[in-house]
Amino acid sequence: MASPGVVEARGLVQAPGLLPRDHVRAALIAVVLLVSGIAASPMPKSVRRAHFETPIAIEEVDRWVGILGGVGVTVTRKELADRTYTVGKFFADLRGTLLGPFKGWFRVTGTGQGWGLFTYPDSYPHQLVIEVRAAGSAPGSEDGWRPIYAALDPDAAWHRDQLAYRRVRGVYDGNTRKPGPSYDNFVAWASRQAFADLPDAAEVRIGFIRTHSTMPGVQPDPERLPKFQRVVARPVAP
Amino acid sequence: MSGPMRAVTRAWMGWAGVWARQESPRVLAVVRICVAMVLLYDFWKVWDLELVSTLWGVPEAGGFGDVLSRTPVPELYRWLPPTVATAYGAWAVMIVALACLAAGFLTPVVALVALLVSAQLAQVLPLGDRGIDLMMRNVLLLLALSGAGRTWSLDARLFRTGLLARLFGARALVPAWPRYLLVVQLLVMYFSAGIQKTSVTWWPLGDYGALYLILQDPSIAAFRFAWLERIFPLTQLAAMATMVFELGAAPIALAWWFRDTRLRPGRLRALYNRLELHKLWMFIGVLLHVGIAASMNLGIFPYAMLALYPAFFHPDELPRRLRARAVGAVEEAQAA
Repeated sequence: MASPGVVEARGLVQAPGLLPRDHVRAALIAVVLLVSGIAASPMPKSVRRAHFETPIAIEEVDRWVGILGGVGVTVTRKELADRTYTVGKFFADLRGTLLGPFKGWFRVTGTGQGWGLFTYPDSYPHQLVIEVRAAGSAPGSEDGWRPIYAALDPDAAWHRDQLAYRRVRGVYDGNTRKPGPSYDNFVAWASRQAFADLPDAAEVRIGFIRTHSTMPGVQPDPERLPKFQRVVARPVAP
Repeated sequence: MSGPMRAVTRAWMGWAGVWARQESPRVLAVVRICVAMVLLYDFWKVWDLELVSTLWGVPEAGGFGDVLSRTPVPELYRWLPPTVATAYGAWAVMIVALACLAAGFLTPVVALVALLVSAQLAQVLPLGDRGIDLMMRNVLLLLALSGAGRTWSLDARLFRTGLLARLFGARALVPAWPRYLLVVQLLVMYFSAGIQKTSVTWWPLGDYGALYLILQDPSIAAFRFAWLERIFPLTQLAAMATMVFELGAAPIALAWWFRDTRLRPGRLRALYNRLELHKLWMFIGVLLHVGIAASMNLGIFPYAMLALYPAFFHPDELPRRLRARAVGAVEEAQAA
């Protein structure tokens, strides 16, 4: 609804005579911007000690220890991690307190302001690998496994469109630190699909290969660490 | 009234005046159509990949999420039976709502429906809900509250009289604040993403190696980038440009303010208005998203972000420029 006395100037339509509803709107927008500003601030949502024990965090803290050492601030990895944890925990608690009254709104509408996009590039990336083994191979041995899917491997591209779809990727990517129930459900789903598509498959193995990306000029790390591998045997037909 | 009180009152009147402005609904309509089309594509893809019940069904129906063991259980599965049909039902409602949003049919209602269903689907499978889904819900809320359906829509064509016309019908002017908040949302997102990039690899001390590392991640990269080492300086440049762009979102916000108050004095204002830095900033943003689309497997993210870029422009901006060009061309032709 246009306020009375609306005039057009320089392409902008101004409302010189403000109505009570214009003040209410302005007040509501001020509140929305304040709450959104707090939600978008770099205060963390949660901080746990375990966050500092991942390889990425250790590598990152080590880098900072080196940088601080270079400017004369001597600190150990543990000291820096402890201080960062204390400060991070304070701000996480503050964030929780400030946004507490709006939690219900954020939950029902699914809105919010969390924009940590590639905050910490993962120098220990995980490659999803799905393998099958035909009947007759010795159970428990490493023989006979054939990769059918490995992320970015053109020779193992089974169900690539499904597995690389962003929402599916989010599910297994989110389980690379500590697998939860959704990883079990993902494994069950992928193995069902594999058994349906590949009649000769007696077992399916699903897991990650963790590699270590190093910067150019740094000695490459050849380690390929299998993680969270699950082996599923073909269900016996009733 | 004392001096400080007068200043506060004047500031408040200015603040309230900005949010009371009105403008043509054309830009919001463009954003509405673009956003709805991108989301329609994404949800259609879920169907095409046969992932509807896998993503949003309960585990007993083959779904990924542990939805029934969570507290609180999302309303979708509290109010409706935990079956495959419920997952497909929610997906179908989303598709219909988005199609109606694109066509501009009952626009505020369908935008709200799409927002609430998307929020439920996010609760069913939080790991499958990415940052761009959060952004799209914020935008859907703004579209629901805006006059985005008042033009280039079925609403504008169908509802010409009575209550429905008042609620949904055509308007030459609608509140401008939803578009302003869209711009603020984009600037906040970029700036917030920038200041949260505390990994040293985003900074000179970490050799600007962040993008190089990201492109080595097989879950993120669109291709194998083993050869990237040979063009490492280019990735450094791109990482630096990303930081300049994201952190630049805060100072660039001044560009709109300075344009709005171009008649006031001030060297900085004059400089901003002469250089039109915000256009360069937007151009870098477009390049950034095109680069992401070409090199990373992030789904709709770059397209959905670019779908919001029209909001940076005043509805009269493009027609005014086109008119000026046309007049210039006619004058040139006459002079010749």
